[in-house]
Amino acid sequence: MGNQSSPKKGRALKTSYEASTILRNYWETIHAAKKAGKPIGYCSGNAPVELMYAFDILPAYPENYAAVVASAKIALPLVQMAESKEFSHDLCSYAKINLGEVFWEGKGKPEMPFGGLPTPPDILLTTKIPCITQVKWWEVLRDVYHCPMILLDAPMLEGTVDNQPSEDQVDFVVDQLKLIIAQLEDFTHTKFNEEKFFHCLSLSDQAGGLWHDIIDLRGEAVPTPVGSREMCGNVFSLVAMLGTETPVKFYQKMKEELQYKTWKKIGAIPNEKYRLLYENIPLWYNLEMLSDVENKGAVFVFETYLRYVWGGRIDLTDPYRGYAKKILSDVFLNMNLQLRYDIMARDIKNYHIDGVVFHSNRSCKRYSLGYYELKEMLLERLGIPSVVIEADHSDPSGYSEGNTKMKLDAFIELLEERRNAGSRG
Amino acid sequence: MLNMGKGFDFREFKDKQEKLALEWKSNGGKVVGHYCNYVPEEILHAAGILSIRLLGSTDNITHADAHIQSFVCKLIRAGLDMGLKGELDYMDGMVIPNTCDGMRLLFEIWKKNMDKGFLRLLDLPILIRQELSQDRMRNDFGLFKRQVEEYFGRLILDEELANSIHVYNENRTLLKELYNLRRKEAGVISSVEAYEAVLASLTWPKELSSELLKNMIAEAHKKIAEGKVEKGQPKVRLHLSGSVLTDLRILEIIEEFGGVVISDDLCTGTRYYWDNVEETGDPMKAITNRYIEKLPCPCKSPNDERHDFIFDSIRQGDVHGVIFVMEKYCDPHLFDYPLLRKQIMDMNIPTLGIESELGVSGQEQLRTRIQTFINVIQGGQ
Repeated sequence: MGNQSSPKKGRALKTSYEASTILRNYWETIHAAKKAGKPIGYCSGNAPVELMYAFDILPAYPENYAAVVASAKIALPLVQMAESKEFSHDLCSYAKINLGEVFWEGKGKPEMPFGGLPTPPDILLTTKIPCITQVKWWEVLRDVYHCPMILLDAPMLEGTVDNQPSEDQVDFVVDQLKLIIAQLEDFTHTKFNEEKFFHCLSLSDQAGGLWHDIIDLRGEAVPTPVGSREMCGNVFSLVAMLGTETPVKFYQKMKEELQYKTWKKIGAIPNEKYRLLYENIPLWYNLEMLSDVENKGAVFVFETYLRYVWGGRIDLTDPYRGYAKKILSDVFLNMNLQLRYDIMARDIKNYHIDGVVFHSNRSCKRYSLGYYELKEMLLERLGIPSVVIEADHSDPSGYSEGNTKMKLDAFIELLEERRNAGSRG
Repeated sequence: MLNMGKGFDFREFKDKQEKLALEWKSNGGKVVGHYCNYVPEEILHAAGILSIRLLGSTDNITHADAHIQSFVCKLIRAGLDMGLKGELDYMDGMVIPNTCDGMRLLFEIWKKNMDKGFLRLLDLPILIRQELSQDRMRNDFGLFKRQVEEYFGRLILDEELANSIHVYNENRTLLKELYNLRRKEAGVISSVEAYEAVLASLTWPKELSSELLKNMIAEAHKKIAEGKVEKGQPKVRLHLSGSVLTDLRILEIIEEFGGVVISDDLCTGTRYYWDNVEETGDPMKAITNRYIEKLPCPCKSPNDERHDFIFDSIRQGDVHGVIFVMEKYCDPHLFDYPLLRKQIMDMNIPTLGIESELGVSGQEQLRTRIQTFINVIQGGQ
């Protein structure tokens, strides 16, 4: 069935074509900076990247780079190399791809996109907020490169849908941020420029705000003007460039295009029948999965991964606390299950969702555990059906495209039956 | 210590543990289960609660698979399964720490399906060497104490805490004494007996565990004094590295082929009992300091201290090899393993890695691997 997957058609949004230029420019800039002797930091997801830009340290994202490698379909030899160096098969495939590159020995190394990650990193920045995997992975990198490692410790977010972290929790993260600032002052031998940092926060907030508008525009619009596959390619600047002008300009333009498209009711697919929510990290080596359903009149209109992992608003009237709150509260992986359910339930209603696709991702326990509970809660409390597909976000070994396709096809048929039954009733 | 002799049976051990817990309850006490070395058991004990470390089960998973994916460690899956099957109904509560990602979500799944009794998430910091995180840990432990007091409807007095600290210190000191004795007189106590003693300390009333340990140590001394320690082949002395070890058959195999475990960094070993609580000053402060300063788990950062503990043990000069027993899907240990192993090999110490899921499948293969490993070391001695 693989040869029947939808051919790569043109983008729904003209602005999306700029994403690849942004990506290329980013990598050229970071390689040029490394060559010029400027400090490079490896940053992991949800680490306070705005601080890096405030200190003129360019951040590289091994995690994001692993996704690039996986979508270029060259992940397997790197994963195998890491495993041959005794990193367990069961570890996160982002980490395995990166460690496969770090520990590569011998011939046959794939040609790495954008010339590979710039090495060595001069500093490592991470946090436990999304997962402990990042911390453990960074400890390996610290031992390999013998460079400083900074870790932002943070508590879990408790509470319900509109709840903010407690004042104590915010205090704790503010104190952590101030400590990190002191560590970065030591590292760069420069004095912290608070004004510059606040400017970075302002840019970050603007990008976050625009991104939320974009998510709302495409989610609320019937038909939706753009599906998941394309949007997964548009998130990069929100991952790696918060605190710079680039995402602000890019998402401003995208928002305007979406406003026009939604006003004109131009849909991503000709006859939109079923609106789906995608939960978890995409299968970077099989993004077609997200667009194949479009042949059957279904379209992914919303993804928790795009909305609640990257970006976020910052209350700039109280910058440190505002930033701490954003770090704690806008990340799906730092929430308890009830909060995740409440948020999903709200979004399902707002974005007129018919069904949910859970990707039970063996590389991401923090995202995936609890799916069987969420699945049951959605059905019992909202009558929303869902399906669980088993895969891995970046390691294609063991993945069955055929099985996934069959599961999704059957799920769409189920949605069809339910709708027919509903219209008859 | 259970007089089971050779052929340690975890199921039998668990039955005994449950029997003791029921006895405790029949005397008016409460019982709380927990999952981690960072749970401040002294606080529970001071409130008259028997705290039991959940060590999973080797039974087939029958209920948990509908609630949690299979790519999580067996300790988590088996514990959840026991809870869902009602095997833990005698417990009045459960404390689950936010250590690794699996544990964090286990708490959520537990809460969704078994929200009863004293169920708490203990969300502790990861950066234990940082002052800010240490302050947070103090607050978290203070909050935990208040939660215990509120739920069980009684205040915990300072003198009760002081008494519990003493009871726990005595137990840890005895376990450490046993460790030192095993190290000094390899073979005087079998590895199986020694690790069974730790499992008992983790799951039985501390007072009973200490009594049994005292007898064990006294007997060992007697054996030494009477010259009854077997002088056979010189034994291959091993360090055991990993997290939980409940399948003690591995130790039986090691001993069968002439090895003996004299040192470890296990969560069901030194990491549980190595550090004591200061017995002077404010008890809550002393308890918190102990958990901050204790030999850390790979879920804490930085990870060097556990590694240094292993290197220091090796540097004492009496360790001939290191066996890693790694629980499948245990990310924190599995990330540490490759570089840690390399560093140990750079010290000219041979290593062997064994994968476990609260037990090792393929007994014959395991026997062959351990035998070969020990033979290789013997050849090089």
